[in-house]
Amino acid sequence: MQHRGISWRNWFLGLCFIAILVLVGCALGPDFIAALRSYRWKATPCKILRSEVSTYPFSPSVTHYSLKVEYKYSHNGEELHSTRFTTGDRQGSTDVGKAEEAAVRFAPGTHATCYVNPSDPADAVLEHGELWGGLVFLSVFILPVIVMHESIFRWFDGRRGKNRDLNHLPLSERNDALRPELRMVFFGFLGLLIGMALFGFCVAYPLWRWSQSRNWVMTDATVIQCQVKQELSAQHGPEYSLELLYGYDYAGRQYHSGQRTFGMAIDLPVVDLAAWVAAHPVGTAVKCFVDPQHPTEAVLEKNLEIGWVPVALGTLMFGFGILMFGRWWRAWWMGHFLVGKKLTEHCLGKRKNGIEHLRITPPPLLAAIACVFGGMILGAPAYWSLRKGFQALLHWQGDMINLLYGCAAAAGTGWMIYLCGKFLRRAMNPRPVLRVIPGTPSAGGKFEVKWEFQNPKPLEKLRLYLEGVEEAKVRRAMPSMHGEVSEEKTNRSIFLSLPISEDATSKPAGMACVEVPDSAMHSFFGEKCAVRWHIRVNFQSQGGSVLEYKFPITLRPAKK
Amino acid sequence: MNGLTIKLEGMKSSYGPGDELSVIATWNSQEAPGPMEIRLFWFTGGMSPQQIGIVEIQTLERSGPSGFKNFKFVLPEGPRSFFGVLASLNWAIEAVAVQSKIHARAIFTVGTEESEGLLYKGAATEERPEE
Repeated sequence: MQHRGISWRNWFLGLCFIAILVLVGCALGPDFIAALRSYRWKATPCKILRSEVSTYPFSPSVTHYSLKVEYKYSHNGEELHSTRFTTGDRQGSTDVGKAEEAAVRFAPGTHATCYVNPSDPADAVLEHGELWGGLVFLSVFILPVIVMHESIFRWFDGRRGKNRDLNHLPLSERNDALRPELRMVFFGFLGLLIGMALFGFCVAYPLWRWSQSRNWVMTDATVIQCQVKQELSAQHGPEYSLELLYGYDYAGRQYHSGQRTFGMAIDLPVVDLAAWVAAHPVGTAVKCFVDPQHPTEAVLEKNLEIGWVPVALGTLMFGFGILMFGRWWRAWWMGHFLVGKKLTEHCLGKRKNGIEHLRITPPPLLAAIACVFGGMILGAPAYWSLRKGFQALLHWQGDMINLLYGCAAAAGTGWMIYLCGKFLRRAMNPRPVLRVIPGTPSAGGKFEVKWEFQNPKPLEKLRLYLEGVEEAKVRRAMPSMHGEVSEEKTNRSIFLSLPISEDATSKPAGMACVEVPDSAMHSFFGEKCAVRWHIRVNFQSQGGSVLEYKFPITLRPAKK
Repeated sequence: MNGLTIKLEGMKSSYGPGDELSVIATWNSQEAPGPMEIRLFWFTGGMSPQQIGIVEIQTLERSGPSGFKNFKFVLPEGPRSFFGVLASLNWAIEAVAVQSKIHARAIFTVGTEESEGLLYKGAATEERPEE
């Protein structure tokens, strides 16, 4: 019954995928194919007869700007005319600057190159078609890969296991723990791609344009269109953007632009947009700054608008990508270069001959201060975003991006405050400091433990134990709303617990001699499994709660 | 028929760190044998993915279709064999024909005389006292 259920679900998912593929293919396929074909058309000199920017309504709420052009060219001695700018039915876009730039490039009377269809010479274009539609088409394949990535990785793992068994691979070549995982490469690549895209579009590119604008010339402009446009997004609900158009004259020619400032802040508050629109109604005389090298490029304000959301998201994604690739590289390096003596030293742990001082890390007071700084860093954008979000709500507008990310930053601030309180309580309580002599004891040997307490108070109870723990990292798959995901969890089990001191009437300082059984397993630090040792200190001050700290130590193999 | 065998000389129940391991590898093949590697390594097992730690490799260029050779290895300080609930570690020596990947293996434990490698031992393990 369960097998039939799974089979029906797979059929349904498969049919949905095919339906999406067909719809996207029908919508974007013909334009994409036409754009691709235009790259094989013959380049032919032509002369522009007329050109101007024209507008047409793409939809009730969206206006497109395109270049209305006519040019002539020769093919096999015959003079032909064409009015097509590029391939596809959609000749324009919402970017007026693009159309203006094309109008300057293909000004009347100029000579240019057009591309002629060899099968139908009357069919020609001034520019090859855009291939962006292909990327959208590809995304239909990328999305199922992201949703089903865990099943795909598991299939590869299963196939590798089968091949290994079929080919009778030697045991010494089955180093699964140090095999660089496909998951790391996949998520590393995604993280870097998204991080670079966010940084690139929202930070680096506006910064670069702003830095180039020092010599831009101020000139008079008139607002032609100015309104806040609302669109519904699947991810963030209602999204708002500024629909702006202004005209200006430069060097005897009229231009149009829709650019207000440098920057592509995705978290631009709708209340600020609405206030700006109210202050700049249609017909307002304004000043704009024009790039003298490219007069189609202009802005109303030479401000750099970079929102905190793309910077934070970009940093997180980029950092995550670097971490994944770092872990992939580490596994590769260990698998190839960690052999022989280096491997032995790595898996047995560092030897410390002198006294080992064991303290609580991180120091609670320092950690509390770090949490305060972290709270301030998160709190400022949280306050700003939530204030803007609630102001929008008062005007019956849903500024979901600022509300969503503001709440996330507020939650982060709350967590920092909680952690700060936890570390402060820890700092006010007695804190044990241990000294182990020798610093790295051996199995079968003896070592001394001396303890004392910082911020000492009379103790009601104090117990110390030497404990050995075995660990194993296991990857488990689990369902989620984005498809199956997997998580690597560390399982732990205490295999030995030796009392060091169980003195109930405890002094805040003392020492004990510990004899480690010869049969005790020494420390082992593997990539996916380990044997670790720690000294557990369990105590209770008078009138206080029971506190416990674990101090890791390394136990070397028994001396011969 | 290709045959490759490996045998530990003076096989013991458990070897200690620093012990010398004497190994005889024997081969019998109909085709040109090609180079062979003798690999000393430890390997983990249990719930987590297997990790192989190659300690030493000795290479042999086999001259004839059949023959045998004696190899000596000195066992390092560690790690020692252990058998827990979640993870385990043991040692092996493997002879591998580099080109054909035909291999033979001998598994052995490394630890002290008293130690059987079991992590959980009734006599040595104290119950964690209730707090």
